[in-house]
Amino acid sequence: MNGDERRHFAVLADAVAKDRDRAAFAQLFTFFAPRLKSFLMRQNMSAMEAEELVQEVMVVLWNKAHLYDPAKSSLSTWLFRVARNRRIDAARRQRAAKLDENDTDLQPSAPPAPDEVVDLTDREDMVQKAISRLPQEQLQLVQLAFFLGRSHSEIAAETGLPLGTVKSRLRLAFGKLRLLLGEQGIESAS
Amino acid sequence: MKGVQLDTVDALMAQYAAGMLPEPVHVLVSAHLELRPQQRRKVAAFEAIGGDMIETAAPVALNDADAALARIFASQTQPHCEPAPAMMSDDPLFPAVLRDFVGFGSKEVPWRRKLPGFKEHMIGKIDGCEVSLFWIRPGRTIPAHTHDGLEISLVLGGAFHDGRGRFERGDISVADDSVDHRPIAENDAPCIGMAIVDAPLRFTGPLRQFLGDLIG
Repeated sequence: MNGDERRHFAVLADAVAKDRDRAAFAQLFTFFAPRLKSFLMRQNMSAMEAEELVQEVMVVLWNKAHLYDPAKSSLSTWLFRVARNRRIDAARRQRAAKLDENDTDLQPSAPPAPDEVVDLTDREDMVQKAISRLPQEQLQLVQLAFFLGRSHSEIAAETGLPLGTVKSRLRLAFGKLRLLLGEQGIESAS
Repeated sequence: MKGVQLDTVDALMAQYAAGMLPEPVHVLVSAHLELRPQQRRKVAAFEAIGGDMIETAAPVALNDADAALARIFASQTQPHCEPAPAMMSDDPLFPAVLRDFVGFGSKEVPWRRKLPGFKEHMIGKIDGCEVSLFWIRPGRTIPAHTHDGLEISLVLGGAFHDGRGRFERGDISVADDSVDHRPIAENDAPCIGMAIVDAPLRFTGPLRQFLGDLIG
């Protein structure tokens, strides 16, 4: 996806935030809802669970689009974060309810609402630039290992790569990201 | 923190961004990010990878998109919420997220003496992890651990070193039984931190698998 399309989505989100523009929202919904559903199903959610979560995320977009800041992330990254935080929150509530039956002392106090905790110190363009420079072969392994929950041996079996190559490519990806994000510079400056 | 340790911490950041960590480890990484805000940039990069995965996913049609859209438009406008204030901790040792998680500050820890020069507070078994706080007297060496799993710790005060290097406030250490892990607290202050071990038999999730992958 290029910068123009991203900017277009940002303009639509702005129209939702400022004017509660239904047509603008419908465009975003038509693009993102089926893709988010697909992504969640790849993360091993059932179609029904995925659809419920998509619905929740889209309700957040409709009602809280003003919290989205295009200077800090693409809309897709913001939606990713909302979906992730909702999932974590639901799991936590479920566990808290279970713990509550046994021992109320174990229940941690309520965390801040997840959709509102967006504290990024960096701008979208820098982060995008960094990941766009990550070689495709490394990016693909990061996606499989961390976002889709595959073990290294599963990845080796799926891709036909030797296990050692899987491991070394992930290490290369981390090293490259550290370099692209200018981490050395930050550390020596602090 | 050098070499393989860096990769392991990066793997934790990636899993944190992906939302794949057990709750206590998620809290530990959040606490680390409060102490090392420059690491948020890396988390943001991993989150952008997640965003790209959504953008490029092959669409799967919703069951009834029109009905879903109608329900969204009918959803109540939620009461106006101000964004949460930036979390700031007034505790000298505990980041806000950790204080909220344990429910008390660093001065109220109900320590129990385990060994001379070594105190511990067991927080409990949560989400498949055994979570505790530790206090090591300055200069004290902790004998090699007997746990045969994985241990993730975050240093909150003081510093320790072991066969791998030096760990100070804000550093995460990931060790398993393959690591020469006999922490020695530095002389000038007690070393205080949060430790998470995978509770035997219960910890079969992605954390164990990925970190095992990375260390192994």
